[in-house]
Amino acid sequence: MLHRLLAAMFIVLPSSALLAGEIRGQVTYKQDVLPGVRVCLARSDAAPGECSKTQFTNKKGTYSFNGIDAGVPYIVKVLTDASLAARKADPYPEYGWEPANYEVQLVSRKDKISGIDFTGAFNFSNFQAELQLGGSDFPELTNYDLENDYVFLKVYTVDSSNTEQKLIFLGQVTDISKLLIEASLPLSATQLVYELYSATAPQPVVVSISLSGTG
Amino acid sequence: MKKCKCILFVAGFMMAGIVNAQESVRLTDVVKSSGTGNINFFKDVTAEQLEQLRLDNGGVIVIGVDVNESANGTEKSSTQAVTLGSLTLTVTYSDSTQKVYDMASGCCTTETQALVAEAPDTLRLPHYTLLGETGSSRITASNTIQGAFDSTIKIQVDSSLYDPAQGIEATSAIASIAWLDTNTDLGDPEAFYDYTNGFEDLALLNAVDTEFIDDYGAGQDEAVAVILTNPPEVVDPQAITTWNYFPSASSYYLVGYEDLYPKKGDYDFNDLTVAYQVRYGLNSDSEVVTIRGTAYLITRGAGFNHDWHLKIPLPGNTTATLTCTTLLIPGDDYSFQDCSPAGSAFISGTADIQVFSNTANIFADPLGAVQTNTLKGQAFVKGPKSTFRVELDTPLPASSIGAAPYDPYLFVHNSGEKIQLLQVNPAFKDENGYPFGMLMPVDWLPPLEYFSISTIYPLFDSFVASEATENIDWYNTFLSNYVVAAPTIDVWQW
Repeated sequence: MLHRLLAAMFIVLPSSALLAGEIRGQVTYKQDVLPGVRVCLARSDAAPGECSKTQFTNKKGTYSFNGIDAGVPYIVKVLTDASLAARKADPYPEYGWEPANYEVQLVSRKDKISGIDFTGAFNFSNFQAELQLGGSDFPELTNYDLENDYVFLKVYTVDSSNTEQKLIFLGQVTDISKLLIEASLPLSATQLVYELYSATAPQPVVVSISLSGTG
Repeated sequence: MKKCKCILFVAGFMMAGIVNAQESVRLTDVVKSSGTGNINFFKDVTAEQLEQLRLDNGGVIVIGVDVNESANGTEKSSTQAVTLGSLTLTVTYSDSTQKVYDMASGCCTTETQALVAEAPDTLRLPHYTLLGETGSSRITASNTIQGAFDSTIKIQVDSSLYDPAQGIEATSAIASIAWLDTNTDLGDPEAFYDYTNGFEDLALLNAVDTEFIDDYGAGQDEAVAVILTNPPEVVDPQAITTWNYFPSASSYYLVGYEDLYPKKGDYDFNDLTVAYQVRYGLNSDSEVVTIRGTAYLITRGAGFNHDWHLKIPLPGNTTATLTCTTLLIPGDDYSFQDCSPAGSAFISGTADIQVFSNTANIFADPLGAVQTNTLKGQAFVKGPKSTFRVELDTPLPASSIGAAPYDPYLFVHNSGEKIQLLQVNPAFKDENGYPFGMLMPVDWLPPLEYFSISTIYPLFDSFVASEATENIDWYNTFLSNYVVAAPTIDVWQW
């Protein structure tokens, strides 16, 4: 047993030396440095939106990732957190980032790569960045018996100039923890509305969420 | 010899009995566009035939319904619905007695239900529903009834309708059916489960056709807020229970391109205009099991020829089946192109869907003009429509799929250039930072040929200069004589 423990320690110890591997860069817009931009380090085979590490740029607009494995291909990109709370706090919701990403691979564990810089630019889109809504964004769901009742959630937007509901999601909810709805809204959408109703509580509960600050 | 003949006769009679097993019967009476119908079964069957059908279905009279609704919002050709409001079957016998089977007493069911509000109420209560589709050729159907009818109404009839030995014979069987008048002011699900179009055809079904229609479940997987009357005991992880729409169930992204890249060109953004919508079919764990989409060509203000792609980033180990069909002429289901991947529908990793190919060929002006739908005075032509499906082999969390609006890009045959949106690839901009592809709201009307978007939409430059902090509805102010005539959603959608 002691022998096994010692062997494990020898495996762990060398990996701590990988902390020397570093990637750093700066995010700017025109002549200004941009603080608070989320930068994502992802393995090149990771799913879209999946990061191994994330860092926010500091007051100088710089970021750095330490402890990078050598010999592993990575992608570095700016990634906006799509949750409602993060989106409301995002200071640059309408920016695109150039380049879209960098492909980086450290040859040695002692490598330090700098100049992985991004420049922000208006992205010309008439749509907001994609928004993700989870169970916590619909707190009234906890009032329903999801296991024994048919509980339905409807999510839509209404433009100020057009009362037609733009349906994004309508379906039964069985597990709050697994609920994930994505929304891609035009810039003109300022309110997200949701309705909850069930077989035993047939009068819909209607709630509006302000999208102010989500860009 | 005489005995042998007798045996042959009996065998022949039995075989005739097998061959002549009561077939399903299309009924003369229909549920009218008013949403009601008095259906006299005996216009089309005898008491004996109706009794055969009842016994064939285990004591149940089964009415097949060909759902026939307008394609609007969540209702479309692939899924549409009505809600059963009331049903009463009145059977009159030769001895003048009557038996009444009323839905309110629990006689009748359908395969699906929904919580919907009846006008003018807002309470969403359980009601039986009937789902269907139009324009789909069911290759597994073995007769016209199976090919045409969508859903079933089952009426539990516990008494014989015809038994000469007992002196029983029904002389009349009339079903009064009314669809529910749902409160469409509430939007969906009421708008989906309303009745809006023409009449619904009906049929009396035998057991074989009942089983086929129920198993086929026409329109069921794309329907909204469905409750199965007989849910399976084990949940199928590939079964769709919910839809998530991008940008919404009733709107589209409009993407316009300048195809002379890297030259700026006339900047009218009408060289190719495409409307597209994507939806995720989710299972009961909110994982994506299918990605489906619909796209239309709106304008082709170009001398160049293009392919239009929609690239949806997926995790590298994803495997799926991708099928795609381009319908070329509205209302003609037989004029189509297969836009599925060449050779195989199997894909691995990111889905790069060539939704429209050779735009110059499939979207030519019928009068021979070089451009389509962008010249002043030119009659608007409805463009081709493509539908695609990415059926995932294993469900994926939505967060692992690239974000909407994905990567809608143009491939220009003449230049060999691929043109992407600025937000996807910032390299596609001119020296002033202006893009060659732009994502527009569905209300945007493309400018006529040669007129810059900045000229026709006077607030556009302010929108750009302010980086979308001012005039975000710039597309609502335009020089009306210089935009393509009436390419609104109700015109180009089909």
